Amino acid sequence: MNHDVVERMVKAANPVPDHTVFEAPAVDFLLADDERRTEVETIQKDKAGPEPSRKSWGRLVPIASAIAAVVVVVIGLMAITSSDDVAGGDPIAEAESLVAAWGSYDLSVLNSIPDEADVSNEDWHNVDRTTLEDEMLYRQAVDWPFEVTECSQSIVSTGEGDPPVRCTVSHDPSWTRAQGLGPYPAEATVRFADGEVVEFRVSLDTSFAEEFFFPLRTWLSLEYPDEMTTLYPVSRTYTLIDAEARELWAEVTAAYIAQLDG
Amino acid sequence: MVEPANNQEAFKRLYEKYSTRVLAYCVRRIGPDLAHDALAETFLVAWRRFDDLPGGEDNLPYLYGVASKVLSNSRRSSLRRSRLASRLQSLGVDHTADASTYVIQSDQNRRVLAAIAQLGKKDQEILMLYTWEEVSREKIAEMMGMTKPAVDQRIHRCYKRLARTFGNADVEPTSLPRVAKKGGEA
Repeated sequence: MNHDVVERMVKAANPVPDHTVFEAPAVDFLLADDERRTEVETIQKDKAGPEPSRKSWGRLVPIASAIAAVVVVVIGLMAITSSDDVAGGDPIAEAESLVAAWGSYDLSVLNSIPDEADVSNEDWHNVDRTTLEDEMLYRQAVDWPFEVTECSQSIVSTGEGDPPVRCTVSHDPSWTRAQGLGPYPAEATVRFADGEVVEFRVSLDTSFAEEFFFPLRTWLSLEYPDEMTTLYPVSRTYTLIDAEARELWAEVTAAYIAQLDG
Repeated sequence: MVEPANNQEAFKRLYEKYSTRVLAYCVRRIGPDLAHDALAETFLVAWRRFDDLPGGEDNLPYLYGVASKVLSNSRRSSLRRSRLASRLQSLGVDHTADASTYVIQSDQNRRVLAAIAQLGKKDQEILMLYTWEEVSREKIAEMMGMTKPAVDQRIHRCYKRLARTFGNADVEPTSLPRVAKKGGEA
């Protein structure tokens, strides 16, 4: 058997002789454009819509992407509060309180979201109480608090309701804290209308994902290859935060920090 | 940290041009299940080192080199090693994850793949780069930090060993793979 024959046989055995059979994931999952953000999520209290599935919402995570270099979590809550705790109060103080509660996993913040709040559609641009609770519990599981630095109110209203209150926020999850990398800047926006919260957004800076989420994901893919589908959805764009994922996130976070210490 | 927009556009073009080739490279070595992860990691590295990319047609060998390192790192994990072993075993077999995407391998091709798997890792890589990725011997030498005569010698040695194996394994040299595209017939 001469070498030309061998070469032909080897070529014939190529498991993927034609790379064009593949459809590579859209580049945006690796590199979003200058926004590089994980969308805007909106709840509209009076807008009718289908009941979101628990599974679906478990995948819709306002947490930094493993791939994107900029991560912005935006949670818009439209006309969600009927409580008195914001009505008539100082919007700056109320906004600070709201963001601080969210940042410290104070689930009472969920009380400002009525049960009847509907979700406008089923893609991940939306969030409901369940998702927000999952997200807060997820951060609690991995020890990822946010702290408010300062809040101020714009003098111009660019949308519905009062001028927005913007709070500078810092965050330093356990993963980066263990490496002395953080804290990282973020910004929270809270907007009131008639004394009620109509918008609540938190945007994270790009450097966070660059410095931590990518290396973490690489480490996880090597050490926990069988668990990746529990930690990340198929798109690999976000982290999963349902109860099962949270339990595993707590476990792998501890392991990750332990190997850093080791 | 926001990179210049022109870098982003250039990176998108790079990804669009080469991602399926790099994905194929990864699938050929670790199978489809883990290949997407490797693809993402490869381009993540490329993005981080975007300024270091050689440019032009040299980008693809560069990406292959990055992918090789990504896969090599993966192999360091014991868990991954066991998975890789099974992947290598199944490399030539219809894969349940998305069998329609891959070659429907004949028994003969499976035996060829099994024979390739018996070669040294470096020899495997050189052989695959040359025959499957169709990288020139000169470029392989550059990628592997070797001289071209050394690459020639390695390939020659691979063929010699495979010929010996095939000669003992009742392998016909006439088979051609059948390729099935998604949704299409094989």
